[in-house]
Amino acid sequence: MLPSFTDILNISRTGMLSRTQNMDIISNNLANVNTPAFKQTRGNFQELLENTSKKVKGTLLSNTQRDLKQGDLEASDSPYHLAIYGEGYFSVTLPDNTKAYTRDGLFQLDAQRNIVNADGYRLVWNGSIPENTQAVQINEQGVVSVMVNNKWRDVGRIQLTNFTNPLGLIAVGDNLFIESEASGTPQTNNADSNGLGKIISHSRETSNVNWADQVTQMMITQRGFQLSLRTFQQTDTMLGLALAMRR
Amino acid sequence: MIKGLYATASAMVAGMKRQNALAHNIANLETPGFRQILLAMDDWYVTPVTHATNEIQPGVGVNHYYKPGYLGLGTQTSPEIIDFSQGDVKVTNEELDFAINGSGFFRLQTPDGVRYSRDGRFRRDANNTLVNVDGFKVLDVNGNAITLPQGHVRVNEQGRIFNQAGNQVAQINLAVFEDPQNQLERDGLNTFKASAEPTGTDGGSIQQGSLEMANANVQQLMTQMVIVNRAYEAAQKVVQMQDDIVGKLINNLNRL
Repeated sequence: MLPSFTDILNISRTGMLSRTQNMDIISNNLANVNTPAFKQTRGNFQELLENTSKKVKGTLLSNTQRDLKQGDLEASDSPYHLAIYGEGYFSVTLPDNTKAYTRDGLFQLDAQRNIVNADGYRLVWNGSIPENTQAVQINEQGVVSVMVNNKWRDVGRIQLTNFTNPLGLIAVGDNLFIESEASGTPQTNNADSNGLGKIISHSRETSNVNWADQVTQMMITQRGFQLSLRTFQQTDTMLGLALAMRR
Repeated sequence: MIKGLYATASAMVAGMKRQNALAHNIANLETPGFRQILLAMDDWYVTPVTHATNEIQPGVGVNHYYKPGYLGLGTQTSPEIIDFSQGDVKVTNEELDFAINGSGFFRLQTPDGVRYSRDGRFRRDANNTLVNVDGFKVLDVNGNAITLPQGHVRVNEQGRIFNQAGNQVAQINLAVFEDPQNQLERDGLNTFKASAEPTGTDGGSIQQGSLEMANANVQQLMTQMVIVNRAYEAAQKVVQMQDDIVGKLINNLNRL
């Protein structure tokens, strides 16, 4: 079957479009190089053929995939700054009372002594911080101890949640994720058990964006765009020649 | 009527087909496991060149036609060839990225039946099933879907999947075709449809945490594109020349 010039131009168009989309993904990774617990994302290119005729149609950016590798831990001065070393997510309550999941553990106490994240969403845990708390300690298993009247006592526990397929979680912005059909249902357990990671207080997990890798990807993507653009121009030249045949 | 005109026009048509394949290869330079399309050029039919004479040849009689040789009637692209050569392997350190070093194919269960692919971008779905990037189930040596254990997995060169305790839970199947060129057909989403059962052995080794990239090569593609474009331009010029000659014939001959 003979391809038309429009078909050929369209193939190069898909090449340029998917590279542009991939560039957006890379830009987002680079922009979040300092966002705590941010996970870099890669775009997955896929070959595109017409469904029935199996004519070649170029490429598409079929989906994105988060890289769940652990980020480095960095020391921090607040006991409410928590990092997860290993797998799992903190759960927070959104204003509409649904749950969202995050690895960004930069929590703080609000005026009502709730543990809240940077956006003010409450951390889900079974306990409360009493009044007149002098100091707080959170151990690796998530047990929260407070000092009141110079005496330490346990006031509750922060648990972690994981999913069969954490890659299936849907990112909703603000470093938060919500469960989906693809992720499976949330399974909540004590930290440092059931394959879940440890909770490290006085720490933050840095983003796992690999700067060198992302810049290399950016160069490859830019070259891919250029190549597709060049092909587009060459095809256009051929089309011009065909049109100029009859002088 | 005018053999040369048809011949050069056939070169222009072939040029478009080649450009189409090149554009597809270039668009998929970053598609892991992509196998590039190759288009070779074939001579087309030939026709005997004859012209009438009325010479009398001894022992033969009147030789009406003198045949100096044959004339090609143009060119065409030979049927699409898939280049199954090995692509470069890129280390990604993703647990469920796999590259094949060798001639084997992963077996995938798609809604349309079993398909074969060199694309090793796998993941786990909500039921712990090993699926590829488009959600097709990856099949084991017995032709069943693979259920991954919880936690991290290790996959050795034979495709054996081990859980964290070090016990084998499944083995990824590598299909090997005796004649992939004739037995496999491009079917979209980086998969191939087979017209015969994979009967070969030794599909090569599987490398966990890596991806095999497309086997297209930028330098080669760009060179080919320049050649295609120049050939197209040349053919176009020759068409114009043929047209000029015919024009002169029509316009000038009657003035004699």
